[in-house]
Amino acid sequence: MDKFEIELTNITKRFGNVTAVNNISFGIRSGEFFSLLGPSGCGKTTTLRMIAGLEDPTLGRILLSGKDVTNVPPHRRNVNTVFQDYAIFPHMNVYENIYFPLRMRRIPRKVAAPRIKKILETVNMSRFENRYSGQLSGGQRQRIALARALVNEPKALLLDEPLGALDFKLRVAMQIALKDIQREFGITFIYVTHDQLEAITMSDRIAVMNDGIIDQIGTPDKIYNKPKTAFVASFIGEMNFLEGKLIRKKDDTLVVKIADFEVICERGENDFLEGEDMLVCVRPERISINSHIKSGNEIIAKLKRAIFRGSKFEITVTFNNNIELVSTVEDKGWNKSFNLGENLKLGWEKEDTIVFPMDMKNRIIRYK
Amino acid sequence: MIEKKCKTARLDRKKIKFSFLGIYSVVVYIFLYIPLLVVIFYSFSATKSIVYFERFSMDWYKALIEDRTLLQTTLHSVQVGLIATSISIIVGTSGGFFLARAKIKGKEVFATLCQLPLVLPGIIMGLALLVFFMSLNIKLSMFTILLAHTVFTTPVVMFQVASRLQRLGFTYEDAAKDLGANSFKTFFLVILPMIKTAIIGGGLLAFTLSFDEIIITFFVTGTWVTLPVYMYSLLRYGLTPQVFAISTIILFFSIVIIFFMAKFTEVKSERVQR
Amino acid sequence: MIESKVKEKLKEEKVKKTTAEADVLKRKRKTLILMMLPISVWLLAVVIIPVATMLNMSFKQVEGFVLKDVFTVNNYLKFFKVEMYWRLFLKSFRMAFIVAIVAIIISYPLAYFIARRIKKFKNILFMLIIVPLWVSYLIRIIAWRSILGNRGFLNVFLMQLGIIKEPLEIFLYNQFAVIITLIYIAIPFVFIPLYTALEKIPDALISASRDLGASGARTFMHVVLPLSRPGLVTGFMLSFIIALGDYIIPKELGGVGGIMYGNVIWHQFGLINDWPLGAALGFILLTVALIVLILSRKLGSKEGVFF
Repeated sequence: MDKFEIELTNITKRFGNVTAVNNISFGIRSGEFFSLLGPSGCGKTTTLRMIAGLEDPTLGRILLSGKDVTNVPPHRRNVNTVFQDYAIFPHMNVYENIYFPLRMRRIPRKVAAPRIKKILETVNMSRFENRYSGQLSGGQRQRIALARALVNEPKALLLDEPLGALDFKLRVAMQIALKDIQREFGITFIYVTHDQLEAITMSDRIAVMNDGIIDQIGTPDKIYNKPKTAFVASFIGEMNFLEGKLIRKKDDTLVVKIADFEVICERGENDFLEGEDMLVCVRPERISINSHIKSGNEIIAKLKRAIFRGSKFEITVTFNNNIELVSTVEDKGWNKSFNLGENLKLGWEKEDTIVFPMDMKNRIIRYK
Repeated sequence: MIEKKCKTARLDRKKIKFSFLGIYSVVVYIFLYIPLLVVIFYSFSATKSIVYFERFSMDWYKALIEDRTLLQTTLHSVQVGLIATSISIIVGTSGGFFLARAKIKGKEVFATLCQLPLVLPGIIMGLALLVFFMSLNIKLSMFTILLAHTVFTTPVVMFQVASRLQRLGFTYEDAAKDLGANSFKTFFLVILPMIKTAIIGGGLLAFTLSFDEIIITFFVTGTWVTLPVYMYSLLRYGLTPQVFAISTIILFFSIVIIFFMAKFTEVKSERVQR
Repeated sequence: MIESKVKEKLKEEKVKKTTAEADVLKRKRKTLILMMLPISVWLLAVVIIPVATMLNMSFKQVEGFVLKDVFTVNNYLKFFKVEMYWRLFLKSFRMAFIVAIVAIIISYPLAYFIARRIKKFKNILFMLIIVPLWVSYLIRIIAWRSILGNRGFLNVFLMQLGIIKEPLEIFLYNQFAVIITLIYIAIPFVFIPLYTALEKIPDALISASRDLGASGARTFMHVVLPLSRPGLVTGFMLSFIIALGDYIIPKELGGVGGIMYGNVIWHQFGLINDWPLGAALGFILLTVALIVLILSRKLGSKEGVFF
């Protein structure tokens, strides 16, 4: 069993009547890039702050390197935070900002100097030693915040949506830079974000949170391809949701009736009853149009909308008058001569069907 | 053609509206400053009767230098001002901190209570303090005046500090603690430098208010007298022109202090431009 | 056997946890108390207790020059029974009301102009309004007395222009002089909250209103004016209270006709030496001021002058 570097056990945080974090437990391994992913208000930032010591949990314990730090104040924990608004001290220049944590450790200036220089080099900000916060751009401030949090070589680095304020291209560049730094330093990164693409790109493991609880922890691949709850399925990537009834349970498959069609999916560990209402999900990119499907899930539907998205086409079809299904196909795979209202054959493999109990329906995140 | 006409019509209307308000504002400014100019004017007038300006004279200023009581009371006012300001900086900063950071119910009530001395008529605070001192058999002296002045100087500093702290937000303190600073170091190395201008601005304002104060001070003054009280006594027994001279000098210094204060306290444009 | 051991271990952990948690709470409480102590001591010593003492005094009685230690509501009854007191109070109330209204009427267009029509030099113009505020209350009284007097600036000015032959006595030592001086004092107090409120109105709202078809005047009536309400209420409250309780200006510029409630309070501490009565009258003033304050809060007033 791996020893966890950071461990949270039964952590709950209440603010008055509001429960922000509801009895979560998980562990983070040393050197891992671990993300807390979820929509606004799900409790991820609160959890991060509890690890940092900036909030006290109402219940539960936090262990850092095996030591119970639940009641240890933040300045005595060996973790550092990169804040969302960077919090560069405006009355100190860059050098002094980075020296600050070393100064708190009573490391004399002479000894600290080479460390400061080195970390500035790492983030490519060596020329900016004497500048002040007001003279730096957003991206530059972010790198200083990073350098300041790393210079003390903490056991873990906590990052609270650090790339939120940056524009797209810069954000992508910084994602790569952060990943490189993490690998180079080997420090555990705990990364809070609401951007699922970001989390999938950068993380070794992701904890998907919603409403104060963790829905699933796993590698990006597992989270994407084998979501454990309807919420995770809806939050990560694009997903189609259909409603149906389970009509037959076979040894290794389930058959669900959706309108006039029957859909087959693999039977997993979940035990469903015949006649039960089900949520049937399939990712748009797994649906192909008018092509041969091996293990036969096929639906005939009318073309409603075809949107060009640069590298892909997003095809929306309807059947049974109001049920919609979206498929994304490569530019080459779409015959533009199809007319609106024309019937198309949509198909996908049975392994790509994911099912959930119907009562998870209200936890799906929808932006309609 | 019609378009052009409309455009010029709108421009004219805008210009007229501008002028109306503009002229009005100038008039108000004049109204605000004429009394002050009158005071300065008369301080340089040679005659005892205030009416006709005969010749330019510095007589009254010369008379000031010979007026011992004047110099003494001015010194007293400076003393009280400095001490009261110092006290209110210490009490006010910690109070401002409490107001901006503590998470207690009833903070609102507390804030209102602290604000009361600034809002209530001076006469009430004056007589309350007088009754208070008398009932404790405390003789009216510098001490009583000092105490009375902290009544309004402290909230001034406190609210300046509180609003600055609120604007600053929690993050800097969080960052400092996160990076290894205990509460003590966080306060002195991070927070204090960042609110320093609010403290100084508040302090200057407090000093100015204290230096000028008469309404409350009048109630709690014994034999140890401050400048405004002395000036008031001069005033009540006829309008001796020295008063104009003192006033002009005070005016000058007030403007200098205000100038410095403007640099420290923020009167920023908070309009959200979207 | 094992069960009891486990139970004990759990209890031990619970105790450890509660003491550790208690430490955290203690630490937090200590800092809280440290922050709260100086200001609370100040509040108690310099505000709450003196006011309480004043209240206490208001229930006592003076006979001759001796303060009798009795409990009586006579002083309060006197306020209602003796015509001079309540009449004077109403008169002061009326005067303060006029002062506040006029000060607002004068200041509003000015605040509007600087807040919304000026781009450059806003700060300087703002400061220029504030300067008189901090230039000694007394100096401003002195100034007005020398303007309004028989041989004052105004009379001289009018005589020079030939409008009048002899100096008019109507300017000084009456209600008019008091009101105008109070208005002068009040204007900066009214200006600041008005300016702050008008300043905060986002341009986008004005644009939206115009875009939706409202003329300048209607935009003002339906958008700007309502949004400036907090400033209006604060300004009114501040100037009203200042005017209501003033005693120096009525004394120096009011003559006989311009006397205000403050004077009568002040007298009790002077020659008359009826401190209980003075305290009672003062407490009545305090109550009214507090009511005005609470009403203003309800009507939207949010800030004070200095923050």
